Amino acid sequence: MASNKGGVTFALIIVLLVSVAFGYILTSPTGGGLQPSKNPTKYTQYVNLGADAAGWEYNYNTSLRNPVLNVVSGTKVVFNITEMDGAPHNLYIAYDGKYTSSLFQQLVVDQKSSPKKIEGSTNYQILSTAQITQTIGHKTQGNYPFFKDGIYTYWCSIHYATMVGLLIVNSTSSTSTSFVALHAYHGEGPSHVYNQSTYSTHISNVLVTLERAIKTVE
Amino acid sequence: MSTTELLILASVIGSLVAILVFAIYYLAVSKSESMSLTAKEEGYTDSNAYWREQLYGKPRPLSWSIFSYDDAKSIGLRYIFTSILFLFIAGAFGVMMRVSLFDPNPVIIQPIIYNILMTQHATLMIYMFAIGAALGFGYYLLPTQLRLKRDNMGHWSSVAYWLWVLGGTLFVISRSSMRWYLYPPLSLQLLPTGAGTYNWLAIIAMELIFIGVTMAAVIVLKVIFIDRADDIPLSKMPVFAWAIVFTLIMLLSSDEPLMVGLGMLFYDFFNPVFFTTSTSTPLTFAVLFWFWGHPIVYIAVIPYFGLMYDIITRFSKTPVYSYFSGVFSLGLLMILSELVWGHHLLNSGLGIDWVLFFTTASFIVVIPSALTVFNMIGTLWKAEKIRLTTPMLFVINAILDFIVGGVLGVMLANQSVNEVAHGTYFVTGHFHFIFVGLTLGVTMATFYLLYPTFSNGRVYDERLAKWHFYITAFGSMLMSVSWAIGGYLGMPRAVAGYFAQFQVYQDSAIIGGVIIGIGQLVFLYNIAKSWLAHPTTDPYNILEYRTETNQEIGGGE
Repeated sequence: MASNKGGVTFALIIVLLVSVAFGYILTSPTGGGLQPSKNPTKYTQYVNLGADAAGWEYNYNTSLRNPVLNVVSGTKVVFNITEMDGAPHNLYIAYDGKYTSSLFQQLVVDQKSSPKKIEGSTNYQILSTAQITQTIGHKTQGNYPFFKDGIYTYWCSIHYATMVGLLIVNSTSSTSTSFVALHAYHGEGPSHVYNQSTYSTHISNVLVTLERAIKTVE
Repeated sequence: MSTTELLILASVIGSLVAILVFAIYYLAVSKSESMSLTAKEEGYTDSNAYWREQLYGKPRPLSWSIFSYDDAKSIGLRYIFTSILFLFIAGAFGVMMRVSLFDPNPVIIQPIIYNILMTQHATLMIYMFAIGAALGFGYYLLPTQLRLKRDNMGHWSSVAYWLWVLGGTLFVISRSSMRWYLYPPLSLQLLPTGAGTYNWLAIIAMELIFIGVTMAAVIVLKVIFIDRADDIPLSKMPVFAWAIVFTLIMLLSSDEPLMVGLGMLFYDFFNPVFFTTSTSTPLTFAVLFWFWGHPIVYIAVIPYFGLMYDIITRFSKTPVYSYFSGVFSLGLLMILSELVWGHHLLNSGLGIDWVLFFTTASFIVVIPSALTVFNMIGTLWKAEKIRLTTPMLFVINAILDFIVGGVLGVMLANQSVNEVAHGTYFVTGHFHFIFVGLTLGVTMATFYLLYPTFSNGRVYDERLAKWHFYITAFGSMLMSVSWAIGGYLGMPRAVAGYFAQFQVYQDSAIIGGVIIGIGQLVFLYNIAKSWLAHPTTDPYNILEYRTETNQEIGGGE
C-alpha cells in the first residue's frame, strides 16, 4: 500500500465494508409480532396456572402439567398465575400457524428437541418477570384476546424447556366454551414416571382426541 | 431453496472463505518469516524488537505491514484507519435513518430496522470512532512528540486492538436494537420486537470492546508517564499529551461499573435476579451505566481539545495563550465529568437533593469549557498571522460548534427545561453540534495534517478539502439547528416517525444529514485521488516534527 494505490485501496475497502454492513442491517428480520386486537371479545375465560419451573400446573395441580387449552375464537383468556416455587418466571405466547394435526405433532414432539421453535418472531409477552414476583403464593393476572384460529404456544422464556404448552383456538366449535385440559407432557416433564414409549402413546392419544373433537364440530 | 441448492451454495461460499482466509494466513506468515530472517541476520532473537528499533522515530506511512509490525506508530495507524472505517459504516446508518424520516409515517424502513440503525449508529460512533481515533492519535503522535525512551508493549497493544475490532464487528453482527445505553428490561428481550434476537452477542461485544480499550488505555498512560524522554518534564508536554492523560484516567476510573453491570446483565438472561425482579429496579442499571456514560461522551471531546490546541499553535505560530489554564481546565473537565452523570437521570426519581447536586455540578462544567474556549480564542487573538488551511478551518468551526452545542447543553442542565426537553430532538441537536462539529471535524483536521506522513510525501487536493470542510460545516449546522428548534417545540427523538407538524424541521435535518454524507464522500475521493499522484513533499508533518521545509505546507498543496 506504500505505492500510489494506498488511497484507492482504502477507499475501496471502506465502500465494500460499508455496503456489506448496510445490507446486513437492512435485511434484519423484523417479525411483525403478535399484537392484541382491540375488537370486543364475546367470551371471557379464566385459566388458573401455577408457575413452577417443572411445568405450568393447571389449576395448581402438580399432576396436570402443561395442559393443552382449547378456546373458542373471540374469547378473552384471563391467565391467573400463581408463583409456586420462588424462581423468576414470565408468560409468553406465540402464534404457530393454522391448526393441522401434523403441525400439532411437530410442535409437541419438536419442542423437546429444539426449543428454539417457540422463540419465533410472532410472539407477545403477557406477564413479565417483575409482574410474577418471586414471592411464593403471589397471584397476578394477565389476559389476551384470541381471535385468529390456530395453534398458539405459551411458555416461560426462562424455563422454556419445561414450562411450555399449547393453546388451540377454534372458531367453529359450538360444544362449549370450556377448556378441554389434556396432558401433553412435553418438555422435560415428570420423565421418571413416563418413559419414552408411554410418552409417545400419550401424544397419539391426545391427537386422536383432538381430531375426533374437530370432526364432530365439522 | 431446496436442500441440494443450499448445500451447493454453502460449499461454494465456504470454499471461497477458506481460500481467502488461507491467502491472508499465507501472506502474514511469509511476511513474518522474512522479517524474522532479517532480524536473525542482524543478530536479534526477537524480530519485533529489531523492527521496532529500525522504525524508531521515523515517519510511518500507511502500508499492509502495519499488521505485521507492532511498534506504537503501526498500532496508531491501525486504530486511526479502523476508526475511520467505522465512522463511514456508522455514518451510512445515520444517513439512512435521516432519509427514512422523509415521510412522517415509517414507510421507507420498518421501525424495528430504524431502531437497529439507531443503536448501531450510536454505539459504533462512540466506541469505535471517537475512542478509536483518540487512542489512534495518541499511539501515533505521542512516540515522536515525547521522544520515547522505549516502546516495548507492542504485543499487548496489538491484542487490545484486535479485541476492540472483534467487539465492534460482533456488535454489528448482533443486529442489536437496545439503544446504546442497554437498559433492561428491553435488553433482556431476545426478540426482533425487543432488543434483537442476538442481543446476548451485543453484550459480549461490548465487554470485548471494554477489555480492549482498558488495556490500550493502561499502555498509553504507561507510555506517557514512564517512557517519555528524560528532558521532557510533565510541565513541558504538549497539551495533547495532557488531554490524553486526563481522558484515559477518566476512562480507567469509570468504566469498571459498567463492565460489572454488563456481567450482571448477561447473567440476567439466564436467571433474572439483578435488574427486573420485584426486589430490584432497572434504575440500578441506569446508574451503573451513566456513571460510565457521562465520562464516555467527554472522551469524545477532551482529546480533541488537545489536538485543537496543538493545531492552533502550529498555524498561528504562537504558543498557547495560557498553557497552565489550558491543562488545568482539561483536568477540571475530567473531575467534573465524574460528578455530573446524574443529569442523564434527572427525571428518573433520584430525589430533589440529588437533582440539585447534579444540576449545580452540570452548571459548573461551564467554567472549564469556557476556559478552554477563551484560551483558544486568546491564542488566535495573539497571533500575528493565522493561516486558514483546511485543518485550521475545521478547528475554528469546532470552536464555534462547541460554543453553540455547549450553550444548548447548559440549558438542558436546568431541571425544569430538562423535564420537557429530555425526550426531544433538542438533546440530539445538542450533542450532534459537538460530535459532528468537534469530534468529526478535529479528526478530519488531524487526518489532513498527517496526510503527507500517511501517504509518504503526497499532498491532498486543497480545493477538494475546502469543499469537504464547507459541506460538512454547513450540513452539520443545518441538521443540528433544525433538531434544536424542532426539539424545543416538542419533536420526540429516537422514534421512526413524527407528527406532521414537524415536517419542516425533519426535512431540513434530512437535507443537512445528506449534505454531511456527501461531504465525507468528497473526503474519500480526495484521499484516493491525491494518493495516486507522485510524492512532492517530505513526509514530516508539522504536528510531530520541526524541519525547514514542512513549516509552510501543513499537509496541503
